[in-house]
Amino acid sequence: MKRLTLRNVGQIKEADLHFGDLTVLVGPQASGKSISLQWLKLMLDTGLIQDQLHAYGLDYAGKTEDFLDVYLGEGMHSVWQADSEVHVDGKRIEIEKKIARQQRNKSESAFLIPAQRVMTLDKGWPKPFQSYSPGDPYAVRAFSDGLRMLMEREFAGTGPLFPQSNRLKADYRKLLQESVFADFKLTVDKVQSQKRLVLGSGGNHLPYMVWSAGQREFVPLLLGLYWLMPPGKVARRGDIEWVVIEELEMGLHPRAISVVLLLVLELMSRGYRVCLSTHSPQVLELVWALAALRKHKGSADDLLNLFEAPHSAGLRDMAKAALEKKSRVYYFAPTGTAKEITDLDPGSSEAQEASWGGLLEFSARANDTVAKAVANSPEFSSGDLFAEDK
Amino acid sequence: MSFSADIKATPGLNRACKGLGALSDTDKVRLTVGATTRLLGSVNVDAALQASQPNAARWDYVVGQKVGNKEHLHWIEVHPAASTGNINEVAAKLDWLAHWMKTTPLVAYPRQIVWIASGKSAFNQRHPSLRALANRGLRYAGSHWSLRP
Repeated sequence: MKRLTLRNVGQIKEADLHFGDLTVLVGPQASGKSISLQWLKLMLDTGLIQDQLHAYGLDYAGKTEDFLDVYLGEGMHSVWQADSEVHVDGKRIEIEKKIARQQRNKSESAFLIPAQRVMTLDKGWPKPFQSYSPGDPYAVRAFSDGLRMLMEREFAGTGPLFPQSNRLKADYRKLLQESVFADFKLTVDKVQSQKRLVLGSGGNHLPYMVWSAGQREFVPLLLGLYWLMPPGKVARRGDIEWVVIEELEMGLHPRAISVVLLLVLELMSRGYRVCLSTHSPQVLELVWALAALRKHKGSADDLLNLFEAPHSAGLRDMAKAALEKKSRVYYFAPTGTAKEITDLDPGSSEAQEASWGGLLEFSARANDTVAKAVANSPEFSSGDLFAEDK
Repeated sequence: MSFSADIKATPGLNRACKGLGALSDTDKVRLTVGATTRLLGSVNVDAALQASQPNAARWDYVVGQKVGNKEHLHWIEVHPAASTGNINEVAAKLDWLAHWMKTTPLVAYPRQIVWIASGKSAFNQRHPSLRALANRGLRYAGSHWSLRP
């Protein structure tokens, strides 16, 4: 899929999304970013989703309305109206027919890491699909169940989940240790016979609920990345081509966000197409820098400098591959339209592009407020502010 | 205190042009003037002081505007923003402006000091050097500046 067009779907009046290797959606709350990403997943994995819903006893009786209440979550059937349209690569999809009939594609093409990922580990262990309420969104249930399978199949042993020598490059592990985990190791212990994830240091084991907010947010994301980057020389998992991550920045300090963004580049270098929704200007700063480095023939070393990452052979190869990828950025306006702002020119006469979809608005106003106050101050008029330049 | 009288009283400036008349055509389009904005005139400071201060990092323009009963000044520099080196150039001009303005009656006016990018911008509003310029009174406007009533 290269293009997804949504018309009159929920709050979206028109969103015509042309995907890059990296596609970033920005915009205020409830502007349609998450709905768009979930429709992307639905169009790519219809058969798999239908199959899973049937397997877990969720019967939507072939009805679009009931399907959407199960897939998007309780009450969300209202996003689909008589005038709603979905087009894939310019071709209109007859949604009612597609949903009514079991589709063939049953292998996963898009892996979605939802914004609500913190809920998947609320007892310190990923919850199975069936343990959620029928009205909970499919994306959360499927992600949670995927983590459960990962834990059961690939982490049955006793060693730590993080750091682990065959998961992620050593450079990433070091950066994550510094920015997220400090001296802690992520391990599995048991209370009576119940397994749970704990952060351990010097014999002291901290359960999930006492982790920092950032650690609680990050661990499900880390497990999702483990799923996408299997051990050994396999670049990608199964038939997955797309990775969708909602609000990767949640709960994280900018240094930790920086490491997660480096991992996003790693995903891209492995050939995944990545879609992000974000409220973080840092994410757009990466897109902006990538485009400038590509345009002005910047090097892999320049890109690694952005992250203060080691210039090891592995990371340089990754950065080199990432520099060849193309990005797109869309701003979802509260009015229901999505506008491409890929150039991200802070000097643009288009307010949405100059403010990076509103993410720089407050920064600009803060600068203006300070500048105006200073320019009209006695210190400015007397020249005291500039005295050191005399 | 009046804009036109104080421009005349400022050595080297002589008189203000009507409206945005002092601005070059390419710079003029970077300003939006509201329908009810009351302009008092404009001066090309850079050109006016070229002879007397040929080697100085001179500021480009000053535009007068009446807001309510008060006269305000917009000190406008149209300058490339294509590299962080441009930030240093504008910082030098700001230094010059602050020192020079102090020697003129124009220092008494409420003001905004504005850098308008003359092309694509290589930095965003979170750039630490722009914050440092804000701390010295400069607003970075991107490629446009609006003179609202």
